[in-house]
Amino acid sequence: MSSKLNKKDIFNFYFRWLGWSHQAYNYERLEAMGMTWALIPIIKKLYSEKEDQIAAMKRHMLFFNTEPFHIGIAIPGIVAALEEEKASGANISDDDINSVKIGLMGPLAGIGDSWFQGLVFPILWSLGASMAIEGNILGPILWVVFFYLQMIGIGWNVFKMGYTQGKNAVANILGSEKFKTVFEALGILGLMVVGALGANSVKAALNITFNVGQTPFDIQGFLNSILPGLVPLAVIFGVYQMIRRKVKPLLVILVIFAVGLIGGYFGFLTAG
Amino acid sequence: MFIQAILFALVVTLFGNYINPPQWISWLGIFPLTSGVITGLILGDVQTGLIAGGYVQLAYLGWVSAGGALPSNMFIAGYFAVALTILGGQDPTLAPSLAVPVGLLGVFLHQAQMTINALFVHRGDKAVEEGNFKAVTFLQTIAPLILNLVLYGIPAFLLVYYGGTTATQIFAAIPEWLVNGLSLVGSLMPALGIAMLLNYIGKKEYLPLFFIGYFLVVYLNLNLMAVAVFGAFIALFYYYQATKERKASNV
Repeated sequence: MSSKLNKKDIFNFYFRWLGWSHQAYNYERLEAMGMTWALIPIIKKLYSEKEDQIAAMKRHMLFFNTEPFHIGIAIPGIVAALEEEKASGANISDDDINSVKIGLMGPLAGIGDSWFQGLVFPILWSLGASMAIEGNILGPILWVVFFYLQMIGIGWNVFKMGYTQGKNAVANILGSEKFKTVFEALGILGLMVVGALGANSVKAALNITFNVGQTPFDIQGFLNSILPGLVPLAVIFGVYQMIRRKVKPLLVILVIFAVGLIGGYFGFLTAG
Repeated sequence: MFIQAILFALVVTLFGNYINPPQWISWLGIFPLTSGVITGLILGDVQTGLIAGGYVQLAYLGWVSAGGALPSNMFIAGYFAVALTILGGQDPTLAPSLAVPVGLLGVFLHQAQMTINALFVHRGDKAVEEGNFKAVTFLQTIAPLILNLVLYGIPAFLLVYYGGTTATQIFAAIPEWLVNGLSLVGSLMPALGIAMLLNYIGKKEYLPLFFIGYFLVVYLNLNLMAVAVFGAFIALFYYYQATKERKASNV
C-alpha cells in the first residue's frame, strides 16, 4: 500500500472528527456532514482534480451515525485507509466505502455506548457527584480529567487501529472474548460504586411513632436496629421494579414527586 | 447583572447541549457536575453551584441516550436549575426538583436543533456540488453555534437578567411544607438514576455486588473512593478468573 497520507494528516482527521462530529447533528443524516467536513483536508490531499474531490465529498454526505469518541471512531480510521487506497487506483466503489461504514456503525456504536454511557459515566459521575455534594471541588475535576484521559487514550488507539489494520481486524478485536471480559470486570466495579452511591445519596427515613401501651414505638429506630439503610434501599428497588416493567421515566418522576410531596406534607417520610 | 447574563448566555451557548459546540471543549461543561461550578462562578456563589450541580447530576445518573434521542435535556436543566437555585437564594437540595421541568421543556429545544440542523446539511449538499468547501466549513462549524445562541443563549440571558427578583418572589410565596416536600423529592430522585443503571448494567448474577457496595457504606461509613478501591480489586480478581476459565475451556 502506497501511503500518501502522513501521520500529521491522520492526526488532523482524528482531531476534526472527534471535535466536530456532533455539530450540525440532525434527524435526517446525523453525522454525515461531520464526517464530510472532517475529511476535507484528506480529500484535498488525495485527489488533485476538483471533480474527484467533489465526488469524494458527496459519497460521505450520506446518512451516518455511530458512537464517535471511543469505539465507533475506528470507522473514520478505516475510511481514511479506504480513501487512500482508492486514490492510489484500487478498485473501490462509492458503495464499497458506504457499505463498510453502514455495516460497522451499529455494532461499534453498541460497544461504544455501553462503554462510555454504561461504565465510564456511572463510575466517574458517582465518584464526582458524591464529592461535589459535600462541597469538594475535586469531584468535578476528577470527572473531567479522567473522562478526557480515557476518551483520548482509547479513541486515538482505536482510530489508528482502524486506519492501519482495517475492517476485519477491528471486528475481530472488538468482538473478542477478552474484550467482553474487560467489560464484565468493569461492570462489577460499576455496580459496587453505584451501590455505594445509593447508600450515600438516597436519603429517606420513616417518621412514624405510635404508643405500645405506655411506651412510644419508633418504627425507624426499630428498622435501624435490624437492618440500617432499609428504607432508601426499598425506594431504590421500588423504582427499579417500575423501570424493569418499562414504566416511562417521566411517569416514574411523577411518582417520586407525589411520594415526596405527600410524605413531606404529612411528615411521615423525611430526608433522613 | 447585565455582564453576568451575557456571560451565562455565552456559556450556555457553548455547553448547553452536546450538539453543536465542538466536543473538545463541550465535555468540560455540559454535565451538571461541572455546569454547576461554572454557573456558580458567573453568579458569584461557587460553593452552592458545586453542591447543587452535584445533586442534579445524581438525579440524571442513568440517563442513557442513544442515536440522538434524549429523554430529558439534562444539559440545560443543570444550568437553569443551578442558576435559579442561586438567584433565588435556595438550598442546593432543591435543585433537582427545579431541574426536572426545565429538562422536559429542554427536550423541545433539542428537537428544534436536530430539525434545523438538517437545513444546514441541505445547504451543505449544494455547497459540495459547487465545490465550495469553505461554505461546508461554515455550515458545519459556525452556523450550528449561531443556532445554539438563539435557542439556548437568549433564554439563558433572560433568566439571569430578569429572573433574580422573580425567582426570589416565587420562592418566598412557596409554603414551607412544599419546600420541605421538594427537598425530600430531591433526596429520593437519585434512586431513579441508580435504578436505570441497575437495569442497564446489572445482570442478576452480579446484583450481590451492588449490595456489597451499598452496605459497605451503611455499616462502615466508607466513602465512594474507598469502595471503588475494593471494587477495582474484585474486578481484577474476576478478570483473572474469567481469563483462566476461558483458556481452560479453549484447550
